[in-house]
Amino acid sequence: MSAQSKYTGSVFPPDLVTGNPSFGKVTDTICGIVEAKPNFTWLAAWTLAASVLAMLGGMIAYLFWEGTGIWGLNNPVGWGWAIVNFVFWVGIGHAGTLISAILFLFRQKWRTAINRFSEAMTIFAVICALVFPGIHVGRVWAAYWMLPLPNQMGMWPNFRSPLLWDVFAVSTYFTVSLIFWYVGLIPDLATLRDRAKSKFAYYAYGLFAVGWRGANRHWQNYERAYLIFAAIATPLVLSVHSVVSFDFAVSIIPGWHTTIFPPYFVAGAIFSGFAMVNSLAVPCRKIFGLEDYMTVHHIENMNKIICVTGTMVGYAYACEFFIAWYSASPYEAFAFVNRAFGPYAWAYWIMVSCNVITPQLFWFKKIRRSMTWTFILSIFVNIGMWFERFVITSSLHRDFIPSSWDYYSPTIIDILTFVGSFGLFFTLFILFLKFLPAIAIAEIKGVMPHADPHWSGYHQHDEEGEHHG
Amino acid sequence: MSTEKNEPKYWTSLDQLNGVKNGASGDEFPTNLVVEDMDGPTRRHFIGIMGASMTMASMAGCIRRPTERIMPYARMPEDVLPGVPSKYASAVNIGADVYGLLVECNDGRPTKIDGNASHTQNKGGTSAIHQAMVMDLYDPARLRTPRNSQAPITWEAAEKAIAAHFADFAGPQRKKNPKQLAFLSEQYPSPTYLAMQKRIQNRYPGAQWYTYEAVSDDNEQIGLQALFGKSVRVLNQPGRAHTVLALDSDFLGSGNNASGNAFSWMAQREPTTAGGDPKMSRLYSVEGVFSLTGTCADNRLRLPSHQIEAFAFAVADEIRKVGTVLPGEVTSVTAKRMAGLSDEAKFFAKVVAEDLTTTSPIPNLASGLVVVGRRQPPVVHALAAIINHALAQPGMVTSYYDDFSRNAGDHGDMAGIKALTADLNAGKIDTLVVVGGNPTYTAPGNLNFGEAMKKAKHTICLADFPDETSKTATWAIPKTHFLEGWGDLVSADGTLTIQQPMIAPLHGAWTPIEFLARILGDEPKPAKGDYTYHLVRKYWQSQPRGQGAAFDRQWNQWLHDGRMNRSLKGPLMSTRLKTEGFRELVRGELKTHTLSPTNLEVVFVADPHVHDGRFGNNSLLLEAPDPISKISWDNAAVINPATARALGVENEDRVSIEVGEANVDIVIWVVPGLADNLVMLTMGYGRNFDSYLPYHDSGTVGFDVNPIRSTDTPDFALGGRLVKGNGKYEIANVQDYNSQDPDGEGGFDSRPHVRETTVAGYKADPEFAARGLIMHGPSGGEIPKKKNGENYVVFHPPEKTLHPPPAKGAQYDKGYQWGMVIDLNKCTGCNACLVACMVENNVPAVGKDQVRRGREMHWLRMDRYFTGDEENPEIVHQPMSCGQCENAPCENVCPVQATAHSPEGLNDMAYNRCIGTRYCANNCPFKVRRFNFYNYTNASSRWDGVTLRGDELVDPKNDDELLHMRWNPDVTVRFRGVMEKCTYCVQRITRAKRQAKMADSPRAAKRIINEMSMACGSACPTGGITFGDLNDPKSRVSLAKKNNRNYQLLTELNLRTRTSYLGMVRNPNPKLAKQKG
Repeated sequence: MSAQSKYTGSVFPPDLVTGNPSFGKVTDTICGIVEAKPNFTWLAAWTLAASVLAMLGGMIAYLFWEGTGIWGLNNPVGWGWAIVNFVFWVGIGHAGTLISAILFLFRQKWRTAINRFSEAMTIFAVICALVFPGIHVGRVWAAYWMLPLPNQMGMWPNFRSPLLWDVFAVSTYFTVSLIFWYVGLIPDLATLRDRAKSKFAYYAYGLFAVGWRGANRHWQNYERAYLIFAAIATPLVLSVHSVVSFDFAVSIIPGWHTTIFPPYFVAGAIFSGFAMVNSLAVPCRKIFGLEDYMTVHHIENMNKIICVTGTMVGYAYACEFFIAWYSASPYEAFAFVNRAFGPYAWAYWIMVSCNVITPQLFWFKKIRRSMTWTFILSIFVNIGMWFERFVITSSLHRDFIPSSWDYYSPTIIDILTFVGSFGLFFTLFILFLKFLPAIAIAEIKGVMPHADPHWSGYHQHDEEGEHHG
Repeated sequence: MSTEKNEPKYWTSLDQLNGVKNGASGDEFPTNLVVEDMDGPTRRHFIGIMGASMTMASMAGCIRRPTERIMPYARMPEDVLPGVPSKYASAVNIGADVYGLLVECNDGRPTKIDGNASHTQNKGGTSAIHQAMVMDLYDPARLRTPRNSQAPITWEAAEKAIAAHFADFAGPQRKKNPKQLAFLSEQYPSPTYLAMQKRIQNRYPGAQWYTYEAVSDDNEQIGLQALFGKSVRVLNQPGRAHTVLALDSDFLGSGNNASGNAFSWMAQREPTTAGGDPKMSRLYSVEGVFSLTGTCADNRLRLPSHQIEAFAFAVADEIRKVGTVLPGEVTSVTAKRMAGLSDEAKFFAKVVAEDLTTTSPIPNLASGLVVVGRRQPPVVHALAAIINHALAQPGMVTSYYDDFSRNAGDHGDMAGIKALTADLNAGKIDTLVVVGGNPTYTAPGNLNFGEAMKKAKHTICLADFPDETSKTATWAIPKTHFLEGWGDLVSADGTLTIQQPMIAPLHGAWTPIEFLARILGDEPKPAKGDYTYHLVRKYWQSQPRGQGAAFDRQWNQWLHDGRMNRSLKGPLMSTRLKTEGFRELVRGELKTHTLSPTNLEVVFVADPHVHDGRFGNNSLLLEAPDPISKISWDNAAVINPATARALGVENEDRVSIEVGEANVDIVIWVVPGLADNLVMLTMGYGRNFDSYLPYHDSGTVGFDVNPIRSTDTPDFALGGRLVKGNGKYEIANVQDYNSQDPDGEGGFDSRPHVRETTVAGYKADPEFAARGLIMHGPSGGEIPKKKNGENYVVFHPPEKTLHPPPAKGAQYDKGYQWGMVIDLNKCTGCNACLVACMVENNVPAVGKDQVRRGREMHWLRMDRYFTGDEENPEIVHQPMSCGQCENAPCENVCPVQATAHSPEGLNDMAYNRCIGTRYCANNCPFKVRRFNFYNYTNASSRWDGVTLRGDELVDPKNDDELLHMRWNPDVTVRFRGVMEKCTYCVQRITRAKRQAKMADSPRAAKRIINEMSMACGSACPTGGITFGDLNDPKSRVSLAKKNNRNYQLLTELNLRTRTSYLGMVRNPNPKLAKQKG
């Protein structure tokens, strides 16, 4: 009996890998991307990204030399684009671990095509995020004081500060994500090692493949480790952005001091993370010919999640307004009226249109299965989620005492630093696409019909089904 | 140990040698020792230390530390302890206005100026200008060397040249035409100086002497001269009258003796409940511009400056009607002179007149007092004097003194400079000597004084700066700062203060007295000691009772006290005014003008910070915002919203103001509350000189309005036109939002930060402040309801908190517990506290560009809100600095514990620990924390493309050192990237605690603690800021907190701020409220 022919009806989920490739074909396709000589497009893309990264370096150097004054920050608005960008990147960094850990635990097998890819995105996004809290402080040369380092002066960080929780939450998240990603990479690194044609590649992949031979014992340990890491990573997915939201929620500033923030931030993070995965996956599957692995079905699934989380975020926006009114606190009420109709109304309405209205289009099957629509809408969501953080952060501009109110606008340095962070992200991401398998080869084979013990083989006309016994 | 000499002692360990049993050599498990300290590091500890050391070692290379140099005393001066500041009494004058001061010196450097409380006039109060004056001393832009036609020369050359020049003048050939010598001086009410002036006029007969001040008292002088037959000065005690009428007068804010007036007036601005209903004094203000006095007024009438005279006559008329006898010279012209006054103004005059003549409901107060501002013509000053005389005030409400500030026969400011310019233009003057002042800049534009000055063959200037005047002079001699030279000053009431120098002239300079002595050339320079000291002392020795041994003792007493123990001459006791002189003043028709958008009244106002421009290079003063418009670093043409609409202009529009043929290009700023069709221009900006001004490189600051001032209309001009210019000019305004009611609807989100009521409202609810009632409406009446008829929201008490207040007897009940009370009733909004805080705490000025970005560093800011309607609003001021919350939201969010609470209730800040996350500032509900975005304290860091433009002779590197001399050594100078804030001048607290600890008795200790005041409090001319120990039930602050007007801000956040405010009570006349309907 053919698994494929059996599951073509609409009642059953579609195939996770289309085109019915053999295991060997899968390996060849995915490893082929890595093994091929870098072509002009890749080099051009990487050079562009690296130049933007160099600009980021320049901006940071200038910042260190001159001081935070080169940014547009002022007295009421002590946090500007740096913190917006930090939260934005951390948010994007959510999808990867969610896909690889939570979806793994929930046995969502469609994750296998995208998990490697989105985990890499997560790690690079978190690296981008980590840049900002490090550089935004006034005295960067003393930023390490946030870490609990023993010292002869007996200085110790303040464990009551949400910023310190941030340090722990994000660094833990980064560490676990990185290890999780690496563990998942080991079998594929061994594959690359085994296929390596140059000595250098052989030793380089071999070093990181840590002696993987594909033995039964190896696989057992691997599966167990992967499960454990998934279990460890799962709460972190929820905790890290909850903790990031505490930066705002623990304060007393109207518009920040809200209990809804942790779930709202997590929903927003998943929302933006999936949007970013789509923004990257749609062009990648096309360029590298991975349509059979990252199928329309995968993209559609992610669009569904975007639709759900986008609606949750929209609910949170509405809820904030309700609570502001219900609380009867004039400061709270004013903060929200000011968001929607004050000097930053433009930002608020960009956020609402991008985050609440745009994803509703994914109710239409045609749209969520259209690659063009998916790509455009995912960009909208990315923009909207950046603005969400901007709207929250800029609430500072009008708080309790009207005399101190002011308007915040970024300088060109703020903007270029943000653009530069994309340089960092893409430099790393383009390197990843070239030097590591973008799809988990070993895992994706596991969800192919070939891996089914009852698979009937390539004999398409075999009527007996149990032929192989 | 080794008692036996011959026996060598061998030992194996130090323990053995010293006989100490320890560690392994003694008890195996010692329990009474701190093991870690004695045993050296454990393995774990060792690794910890090594790890940390390596981190530190690698980081050490990254830390930028400022270079520090120490300058030790080579020879220790007597009575000076390093680190212990000493205070000396002195005085300073701005024009004829003399203030007694106490100057704090640290290691020989004057760093802080406060008022001298024992001085009879200012009573310890100061203004923003006095607070900032110490900056001018260290200004690197000062003239540092004598110059001949701009070229620097040596002092010896200058001395010789001047001696030779004037020796020539005394020679026979000059005697034929002695008029060739003219002097132009600033006002310097110094007896020694004035005596020297007389001697000069004797030695060079026919030498002309002129005195010029741009902010002139001419009008008052001429008006009073007509009534007294001689030059007199008026001194008021507004606090001794129940009703005060201010006619275009800023007597509380910037007029002569403003601090003394404010002290007197505010002393009784407490609704007294003695004997029934609450009562309070009442202030009426009638003015065209919006002055600080106007903001303090209970009722204010907007009236263009040219109609004030008519209003004054209307008041006189009403006073006559209620039976007060006025001289015939007044009554005969009254009807004619008050024509053209609106009905509203007439009614206002009627009400005011009733109030002025009604016996004060508060015992021991006179019924009324009329004060007149500088801008008003002489007739108004004379009329006010006549009215005050007729009101029969008991107890010296108004007193007149002989004018000590000028020699007899002085021409007056405008007439003098006019005559001098005519002489110069006629080529009559060979040598012009300018003793201080900057007439090229400050003289009215129609004189074109700068050009006229060039027609003199020789011009010799004694100047502070290489400014407009001294740069065009043939000779420029540096003038001492008042902290650098000896002198003597006599205030309007005849109190004499010897000016003591705090420091030797930094770059070499002459005092005005020395300058005149050198021109005289007949006063030998003493072999030892200071020339001016010698001259001043000699002058006072030549006075009656100046001889003998007693003089030394007396002299020292004067120096110590900061004033002579007796007045030079008491007030005039004359009871009769020569009212026939009044007739002279009312000559000419009073034209009735109808102002319109094409026929504007242009009013010239002395700037509250740079005065006539003499403080135009003082960054603290320039950065301190204008009290009303809140503009920093600029001046503007200020008009009211109705006029702006009629003219089609808005904020930051470039415009041209034309009067007659002259015009100035300036920028528009709209401020409610001015009279319609009136343009207010502040003098003192747009200086054209090589400024130093750290962080300000745009050449000029603001706009020079002197070109359209003329000798005929130096105060206000009619027939002004406004022509819209092209484009915008960027203004740095520190407060964009002017209302406490952001959406203008009242009620729901109208915020009760300033709590204000009327005397009637106070009677109805003495607890109004604590109840958080929202501001009342326009003058008087009941507390209005919201537009929809509901009551204002009364904010609920704090919610239950997870952090309950400490139990009795815990934390905050022990030791000293610091607190502060700011009485809004006493605040005039003068900015003295703001500038004092900057000087005391080494707060840098950051420059216009940074202020535009909202980065001003003012630890204490002055909030200003408008209330009432846009047409005729009232203004309230609220000084705002860190409230030292007991539950401080800033503290828990700091990741490195850089800000923490002291056991004494201060919200302390450890700058060294701060890494600058700015989270604390974000979480501060008052937004009083300030972040150092750049390295503002290092002038040469050139972070903003700033080039230093000091004297070319001097290495700019040294300018830094010069600027650094002004820092208060008790306060850290902050590097960039840290958060700064008010900590109640913790350095003063620590000093007082130290002194209290060493005091002889607990009583003395208590006195030290109780007398301590913070920089803002000691600068406040009205004593509106009270500080002290809350644990002492008898301390001033504890008593102030018991006032039923006491309230805390944002109580709903459960912050438990240590700074609280006393709610404001105004006493508007109900009759005027009714008229408004």
